Amino acid sequence: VNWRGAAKIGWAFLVTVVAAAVAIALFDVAGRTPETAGHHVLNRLAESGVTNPVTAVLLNFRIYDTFLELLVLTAAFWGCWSLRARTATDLLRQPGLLLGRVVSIIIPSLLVLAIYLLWAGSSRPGGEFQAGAVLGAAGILVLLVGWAIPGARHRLLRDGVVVVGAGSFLVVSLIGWVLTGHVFSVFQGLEKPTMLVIEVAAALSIAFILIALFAGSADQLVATPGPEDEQGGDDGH
Amino acid sequence: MSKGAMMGTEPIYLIMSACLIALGLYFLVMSRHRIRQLMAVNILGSGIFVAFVAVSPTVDGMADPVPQAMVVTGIVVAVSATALGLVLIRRIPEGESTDE
Repeated sequence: VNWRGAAKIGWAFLVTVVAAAVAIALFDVAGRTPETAGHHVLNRLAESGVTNPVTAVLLNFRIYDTFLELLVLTAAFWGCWSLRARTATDLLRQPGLLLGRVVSIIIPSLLVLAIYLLWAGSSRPGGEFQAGAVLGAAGILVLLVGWAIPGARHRLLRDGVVVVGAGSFLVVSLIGWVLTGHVFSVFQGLEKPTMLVIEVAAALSIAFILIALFAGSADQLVATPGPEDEQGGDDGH
Repeated sequence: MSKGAMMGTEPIYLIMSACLIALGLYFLVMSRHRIRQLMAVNILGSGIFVAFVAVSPTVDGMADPVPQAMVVTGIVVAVSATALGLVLIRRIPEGESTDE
């Protein structure tokens, strides 16, 4: 008897039932229009300092979520780097002439796009995640071509960029706590500049952490692989 | 209050999300390779993200910003968790398969 085949068919059947149940439940829920939190956001959007409701939620109304999320990113970064593989696979280090030229055209336009997205976030779709993702993609492109991430050689700078995102949230929350007694109360009248500072810091952190997660270790962030202690095979197999 | 919030959103998104959830569940259990299992978790998560956004009613004719913000947050968390998972998978010695 082919038990694995039988298990596959049985599980496929079960999963289909689950999918049908999920679909029925979703159709049921989607028909209702409860008083959602979105109404409160739109009603009090003017107080948030920005006109894009998603940015208002991320950087003002539910700033706590965004802060915790940056902490998750930071934790993932430290987890990845402390578990880095003993045998690092070297990325391509010899880009062709054409590849180098093309990428050196693409990178500046990605930088401009990231800055635009960051700025647009206050009134249109955009914001620190989008900007961070574009910046991160630019960095990964740089890595794939075999160039170095500028400044990545300096450990202090690396660590600084990693924590500046979550750190700016903390500073804002502490200042708000001292001034108003409420943690994470973004200052009245100064919402926009405060958010801008947080946004820039968070975008930098997100971008660098994404690049670092892709690279996996500090060695991979700098172009010329020195004689690292990457002999591997020391775990005996 | 909002006339845009009538009978649900596009049904295609609801069906799509149920399919993604089913695919993720199926391959999470049936895959032998750990990276495939991780991908299955990601697909399952994507299905839930789609469901969350698709189910939330429109507010005054525009998409509800709260689920959108939460899904953006969730995507970033999923990406970082996936990266950590991949690193963990790489640290598992070769030849140690999930079953058999």
